[in-house]
Amino acid sequence: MQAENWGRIKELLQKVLQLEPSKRRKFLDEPGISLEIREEVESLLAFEEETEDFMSLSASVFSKDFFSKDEQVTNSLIGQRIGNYEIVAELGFGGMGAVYLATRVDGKFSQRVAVKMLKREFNTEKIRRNFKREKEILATLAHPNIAALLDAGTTEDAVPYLVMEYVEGEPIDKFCRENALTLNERLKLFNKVCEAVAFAHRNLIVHRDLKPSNILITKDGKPKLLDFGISKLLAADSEDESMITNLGAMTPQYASPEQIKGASVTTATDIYSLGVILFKILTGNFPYNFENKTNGNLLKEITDSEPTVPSQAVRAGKNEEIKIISPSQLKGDLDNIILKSLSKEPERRYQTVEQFSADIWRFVDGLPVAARPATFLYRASKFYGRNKISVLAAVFILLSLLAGITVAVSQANAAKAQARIASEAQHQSEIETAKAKSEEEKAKKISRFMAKIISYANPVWYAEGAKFNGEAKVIDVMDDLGEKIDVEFAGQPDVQSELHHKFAEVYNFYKTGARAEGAREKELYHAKRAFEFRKQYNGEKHELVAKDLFYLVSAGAVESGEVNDENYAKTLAKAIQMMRETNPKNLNLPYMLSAYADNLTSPYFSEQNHETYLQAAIPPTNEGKYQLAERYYKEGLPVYWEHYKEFNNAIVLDECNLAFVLVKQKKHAEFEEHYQICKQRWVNAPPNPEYPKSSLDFIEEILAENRLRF
Amino acid sequence: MSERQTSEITQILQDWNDGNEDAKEKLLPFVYDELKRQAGFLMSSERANHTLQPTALVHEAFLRLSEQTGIDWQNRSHFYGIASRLMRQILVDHARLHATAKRGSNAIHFSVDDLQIPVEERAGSILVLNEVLERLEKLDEQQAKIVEMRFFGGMNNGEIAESLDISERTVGREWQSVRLWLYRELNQK
Repeated sequence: MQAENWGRIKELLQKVLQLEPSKRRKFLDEPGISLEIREEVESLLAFEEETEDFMSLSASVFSKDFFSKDEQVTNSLIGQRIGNYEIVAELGFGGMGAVYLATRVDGKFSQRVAVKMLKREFNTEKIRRNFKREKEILATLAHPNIAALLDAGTTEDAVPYLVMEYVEGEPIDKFCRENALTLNERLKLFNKVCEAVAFAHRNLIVHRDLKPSNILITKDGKPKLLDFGISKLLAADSEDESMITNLGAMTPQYASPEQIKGASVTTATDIYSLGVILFKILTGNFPYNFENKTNGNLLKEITDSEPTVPSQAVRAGKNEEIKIISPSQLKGDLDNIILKSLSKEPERRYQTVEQFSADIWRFVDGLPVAARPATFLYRASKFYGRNKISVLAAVFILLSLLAGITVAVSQANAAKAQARIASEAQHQSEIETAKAKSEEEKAKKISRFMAKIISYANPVWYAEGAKFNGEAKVIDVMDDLGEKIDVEFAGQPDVQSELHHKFAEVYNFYKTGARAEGAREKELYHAKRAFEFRKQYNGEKHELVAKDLFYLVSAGAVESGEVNDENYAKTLAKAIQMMRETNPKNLNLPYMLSAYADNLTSPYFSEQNHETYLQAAIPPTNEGKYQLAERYYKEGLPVYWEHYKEFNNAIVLDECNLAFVLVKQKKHAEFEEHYQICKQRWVNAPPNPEYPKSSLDFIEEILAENRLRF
Repeated sequence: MSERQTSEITQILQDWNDGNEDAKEKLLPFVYDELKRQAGFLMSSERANHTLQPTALVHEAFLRLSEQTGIDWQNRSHFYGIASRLMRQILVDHARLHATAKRGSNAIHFSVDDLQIPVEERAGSILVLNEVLERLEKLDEQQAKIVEMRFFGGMNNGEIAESLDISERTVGREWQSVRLWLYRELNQK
């Protein structure tokens, strides 16, 4: 073929490819196109379908194994003796060198080990010296879920090596998939991994390269973590640090943004990698779209892009996981937990692996988790969800109506009686009579409304009943009657507010799930009405007004002005303030405060501007602002104890925290008092996997340490 | 990399930044070494099993050389272009070591399914591609360059466009059409 011919063919080919198939023939029918050229174009077009994924790999992937083969041949050490071990087989070949299976040769007992021989690049004087020192530290890392470092040294020709416990197992992601583990099984397995990582962190060892291939699960389902501290050991040589980072001793898919940027690596780095691993085992995907990305873009993706929401990733993936784990199981709490661990800024992740793990346990147990999106609707909806309002919705409505009737009727009777007694005082009597009339009126209206509800159950006599064939659910009735409340109960703000309040409560629950459509709008409608009528009846400042103001915020509205963060904060703060002033023991107060605390990172919710509550005590505790923390604990704890009369681990932990804050301020007598409450309650606590008894050891240690310094 | 080498590369890059085109040539051996070293690591079996991402060695090489020298490099896409060429050379050299037959019985797709094909046969495919590319170079230099950059360099259309100083749209169209031709040439007897 001539080059000039190709120019013409190419031009036509490119034009034709832009056209829809149906229009192509006509295009090629043009008289200016010679038969020869046309045939050539058509011959190429014929391959269009076949070439769909042609050259979709890059050469570097297509040519895998081209290189390792060479190195494997030259590096084979099989049969050689390293220290007390003889190499029997090669296990694999990685970034740092080859890994061999070896057995003990000094005959005392047969033990299989993995020997890691390091590549020559790592064979520097500094690393050799570090080996000796770090060996001692790694040897202290004795944990059943961590593969032990048994020995380290250098061969006769000065090649550094490590002898590790040999682990037979599958990478965690593969294990979960092949054994079709359920969501809870996966979470529990993951938590075991967290325990091991937490143990290492307490020993001041950061892994830096956590990934599924370093987390093997043995046949009996026990996790074993490999290569702890190895990357640190190698990176201790500053000259080689960049090499490790770039060469990929670190696996880019699991690397944290700070690792990629070359910032300092801390325990938060491991928390991030654990987050990616959890993401992977629950969704089968990575949090970022790595497909068709070159390495440079891949790293940029990690540092710059927002991660995919896990529940959406499992939906999008064509993976096995979708058969076992549904998006709805991940939506909400697990999304929040994972996304928190994947925060770009290390300080926004969980502070410790224990906290990460504890949150997962809380999810498993159906308790509210600490991770949440920046919204304060969260706590309220969790509370309702846990208490299964769906089942109770019917009961609530009926009870509230029945209570309404009883109250109305008895008030009417009382008013009548009073009217009789007060007959001698004419003006008084008139007032009382009017009141009695109004109460009677109210009772009638309620009866009528009640009758209307009941008619929904009768498909033969009533249109309402026929509409649902007699099978209306309470929520159907509410949908129908919601807008009639103000017609039926015109002039009865107490009934109006109470009914609107109950309706808002129910729609809050329905905001997610099958009947979510329109629920948000309805919740907002009823919450607004409830608040207005409540004020009409109870005045501007009342316990119930405070409560409805909170409901208004929960429904996504503010008291006045534009709906924005600042006005949310103002409205919520006002509700809290009002509740504190009218009834500080109201059980809504902890939830209101909690909603507030959920948003402390927003500048509008800062503690300088408004009062906060117990959860707000945690940041100042960690920052050493003990006086402030003490104030929050002392304010929050009595409210909590009022609410949870029985044992509650979280509150006991807060008692312990208060004790800690007191000891830090050298308030000895008070410290002893709260410390005893903490200790006694903890020791007598019913078993709870989320709060193992051993967690007190940790607290005790800290406290003991601080007591010693009196 | 030794200190001496680092300072040498720094100087070369500096010269290149200053517009001295000869510097490009001097850089080749260093880039070649760097690519080869990384290819050895990145294309070892363990690593490649982990990820089927188009690992762009040229990016890695660029990152490493620029980080080592601390130079704010103006000619990134040109560097990628050069590195793609070298990468092709490295892979073809290696393929020669492994290839037992020039053409296997499988159709050549260079897609994920091909990873099941034995190394020897894949190596053969690389050699066949190299020959076809040599023919394409005579027919249409620009298209040959695009194939080299995409396949051997792992570069994306934007980077290729920048390196060749053409529009990204043109790169897309050229690629779309040349693929058909390549496929036919590779797979016809």
